Amino acid sequence: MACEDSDDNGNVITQSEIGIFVLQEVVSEDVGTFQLRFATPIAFEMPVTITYEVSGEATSDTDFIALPGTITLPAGSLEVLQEVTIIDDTEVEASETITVQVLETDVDAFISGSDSVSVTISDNDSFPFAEGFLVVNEGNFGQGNTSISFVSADLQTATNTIFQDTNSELLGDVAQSIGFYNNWAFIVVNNSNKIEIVHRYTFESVATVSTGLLNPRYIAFANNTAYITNWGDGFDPNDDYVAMLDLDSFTITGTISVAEGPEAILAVNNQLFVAHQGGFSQNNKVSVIDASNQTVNQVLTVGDVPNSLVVDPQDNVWVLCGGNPAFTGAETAGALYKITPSFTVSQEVVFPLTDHPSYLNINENDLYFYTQNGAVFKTNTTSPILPTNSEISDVNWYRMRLANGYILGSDAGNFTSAGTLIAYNLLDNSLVGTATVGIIPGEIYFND
Amino acid sequence: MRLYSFLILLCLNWHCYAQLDSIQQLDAVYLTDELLLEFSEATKTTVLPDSLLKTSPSSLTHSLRQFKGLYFREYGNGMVASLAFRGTNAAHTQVVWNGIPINSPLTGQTDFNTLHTNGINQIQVRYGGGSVQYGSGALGGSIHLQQKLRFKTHNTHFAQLGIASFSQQRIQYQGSIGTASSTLQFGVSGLQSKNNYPYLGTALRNENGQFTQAQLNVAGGFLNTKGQIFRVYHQSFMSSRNLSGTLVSLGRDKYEDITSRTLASFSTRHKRASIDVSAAHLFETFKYFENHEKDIFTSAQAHTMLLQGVYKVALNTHTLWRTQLLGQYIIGQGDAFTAQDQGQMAISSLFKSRFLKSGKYTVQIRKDFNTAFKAPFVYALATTYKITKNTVVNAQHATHFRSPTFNDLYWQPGGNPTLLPEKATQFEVGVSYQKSLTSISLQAFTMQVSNLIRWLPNTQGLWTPENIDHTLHKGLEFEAHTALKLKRLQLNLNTGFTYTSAKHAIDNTPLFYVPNYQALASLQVRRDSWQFIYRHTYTSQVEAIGRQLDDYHLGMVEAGFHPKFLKQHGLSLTLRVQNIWNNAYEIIALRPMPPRNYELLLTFNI
Repeated sequence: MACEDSDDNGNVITQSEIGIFVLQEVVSEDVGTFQLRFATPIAFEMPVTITYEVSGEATSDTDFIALPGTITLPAGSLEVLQEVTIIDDTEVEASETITVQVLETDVDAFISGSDSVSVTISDNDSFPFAEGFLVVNEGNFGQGNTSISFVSADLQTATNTIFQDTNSELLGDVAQSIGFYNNWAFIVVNNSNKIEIVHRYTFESVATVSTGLLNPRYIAFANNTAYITNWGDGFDPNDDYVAMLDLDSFTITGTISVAEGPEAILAVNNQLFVAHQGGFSQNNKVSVIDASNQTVNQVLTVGDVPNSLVVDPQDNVWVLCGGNPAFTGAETAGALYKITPSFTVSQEVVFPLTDHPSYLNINENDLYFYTQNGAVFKTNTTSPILPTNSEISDVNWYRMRLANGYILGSDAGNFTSAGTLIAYNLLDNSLVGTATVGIIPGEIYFND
Repeated sequence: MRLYSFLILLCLNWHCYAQLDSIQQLDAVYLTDELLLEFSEATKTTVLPDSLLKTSPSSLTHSLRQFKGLYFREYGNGMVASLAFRGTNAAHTQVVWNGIPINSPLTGQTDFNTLHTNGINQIQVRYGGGSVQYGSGALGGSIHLQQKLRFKTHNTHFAQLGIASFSQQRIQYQGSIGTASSTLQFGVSGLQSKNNYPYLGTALRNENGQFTQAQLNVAGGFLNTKGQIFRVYHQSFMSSRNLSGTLVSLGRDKYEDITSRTLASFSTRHKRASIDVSAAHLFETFKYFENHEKDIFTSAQAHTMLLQGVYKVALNTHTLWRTQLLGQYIIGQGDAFTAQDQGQMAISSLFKSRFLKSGKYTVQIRKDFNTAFKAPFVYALATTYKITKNTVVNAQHATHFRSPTFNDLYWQPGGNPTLLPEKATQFEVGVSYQKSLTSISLQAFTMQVSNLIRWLPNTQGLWTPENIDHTLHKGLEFEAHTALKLKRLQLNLNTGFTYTSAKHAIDNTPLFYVPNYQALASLQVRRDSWQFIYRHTYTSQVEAIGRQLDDYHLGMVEAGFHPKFLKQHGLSLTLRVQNIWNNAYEIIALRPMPPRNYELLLTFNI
């Protein structure tokens, strides 16, 4: 492309101009190579050395082979090509650009309007375990057959034993729960008295915490510290504690003694709410730990057997209490409690004696829970009532979870072979699908 | 899940009991469990004689390793061990001590690592059920431990000291004195081990496996000129074991238990008839410590009282009729249930005769009555026929049962008082050949077990036992034995092979922990003062929950030296090497068994 201009004297002169072009502005990381084209519409009589600058998010020699920074347009040629070699790694990363800007030439030539190009390298790698459900298969006590399954969001595919397959070692004995922090997943392995920390999307092992835990149950995060509920010895009511795990060193830095049977734990505004379900026994307390000074600043009395906690948009903490089971000889009714940010406790709903509700979940202002007769019910935080109609019924679930727009249940089947993950659509309670997972599937998480 | 699984695991951890159901028959010198011989013609039985017992390690688990086709489920060396026959489970093997079934009423099973063989002079293994004779639990097979009383002037003493790998020591003494009219036997044994063996192929050791055990036994009897005999047996056992963990879960717990068994009986005979009256008391208690460093435990105990009378008459030279009445009362209590008791009655009748010239048959029936559940009627029909001078064929059809245990019925939470006994129907045929020192036998069986009790969570999430499972078993048992004498060299060769298939009827899936194939071969060589034994066993792959366990080979070598010049004083030295090929193997998933290990025994016989 030629261009006309006039000099100060008004004479019209014709000069060659030089520009840079590419065929595609977006290439995949596995493209191999692409060409930068330096071109001129009118050939020069002399070789022209073009100097250019490489910038952009892509890193030289990491994402692509470093470019020399200059190129020579041979005499008489209309174009010269610079090959760019893209490095196809396995790292999962955002799209990155390579920007090449022509800076100058060693002849008197225009740098044309197209003096720079940007090529976006689109990553061809994806995390194996993202955008789907993680299911904690507890396995049988003492059998060391606990595992984690990954189930795609549409429930069409399930990949089992992902920790074992990724790290070539057994996960342990009875994994109980998973907590997520940054890009890490913290797998609490109850009867191995340890936490396996893995990259949450690849499940590659990051660290193992194997001292300072005894019968660990659940985990929550506040103030760069993980708080883990521990029963201690199951038959000892006086040795229960919350362990504190430093998230820089991955070591247990201290413990906080609490009442018997700490189970669910929830972080709300730097406060940790601990539900004392009771361990091998039954309890009726919620402890509140202040993460700023790491002490228990409230011990609140709720109903018997508080088994699950959620927080609503107003920062009220809702506590579902199952009630003492019949076998205790002192069966009590379940109840739903509310704890306000100022620690006022109120009983909101009392359930029929034999319902024994559990697995409280929240979706905006709707509260969902499961009752012992195999049904899922819904109420709400604005005017909680005892619901009469179930959302889902005639199921036999070992755990229930709301995630990714679904009501999910884990069915442990005969408890010695593969269990099932079942999903219902939260909008219309229609069945979305099922997936075959591991032995005794328990807690379910969406790994978004 | 954790709590109930833990409790289920705990359920595997108990012991000893039963009901009296046997006849002790007077013979000239010894008293033995005659019933086993009299009414078991069509049943495969094997005997481990006194001579082998004396150099065997004193736990019953180790002694029984010498038998073919037995499959132990041992939770690590020295830990809870149970024995299963023909693909059935631990509660389907009845242990019979001097004619009395002694499985625990709490768990229905016997932990073979809590029985010392000190004082026992004979162990017999009976393959296949025997509920008519031994009641509940004798469904897959039974183990018979016999302490013989010797009515002859004698004064003998046996003492043994042993040291073994992993800081194991044992000491054992057994004495017997007597005349033609009275006899007294007594013994003690002790065994302890750090048991901290390395897990092959890992950097780990068996960290929490130490144990200490002690046993005491006393037995005595009077025999008068009328042939009347009065006998008393007593055996007490106590042990404290830390319980090994798994490869992924370190052990922290501890188990202490005490068992005691006492039996008194009086027998008289008149011409062709005999009457035996026996009374027994069995006691067991245990404490389970979740953390061996704390004095916090759960416990349970049970007492069993038994009374039985047996009338036996020889109607003619080849026809025997025996009838028995049994009364039993069991009371148990523990942290998981308040005191519960059960009364039981049983009446059985056994008839044996012959047909044609070479055939024998038995007809046996039994009906139990129990205050806690509806007990079944069981029967056994068996026949043998000698088709040639050396060859006998046999056929048998029998039904068996296993009662729900105290844990099944009463455990809080979850116990189900509406449980029924498990039932089995067995068919069996076989052929055996015997000529001088060579014997060969082949037995084929099929069995259906129904109403099997399984603990599963109900819709309320509570683990509870139900009569829901139904299993199908079939298999073959082959064994051959021969002996050779070449001048001063004596050779004994034993081989055995079993094929077992055990499946759930509902979906044809295999049962956990049932090897399809097991093989055993052993060679014993004796020359003058020396004895050498090599024993090789093979166990095929088994299904475990969520995985398969590899097959494995095990080799055992034993060398014994019994110097001739010391024969009078009976001093001998034995070196035994177990797992000589140093193979890594697991019997129960993730619980590695010991690598190559050594034991040195010094034995005195006076």
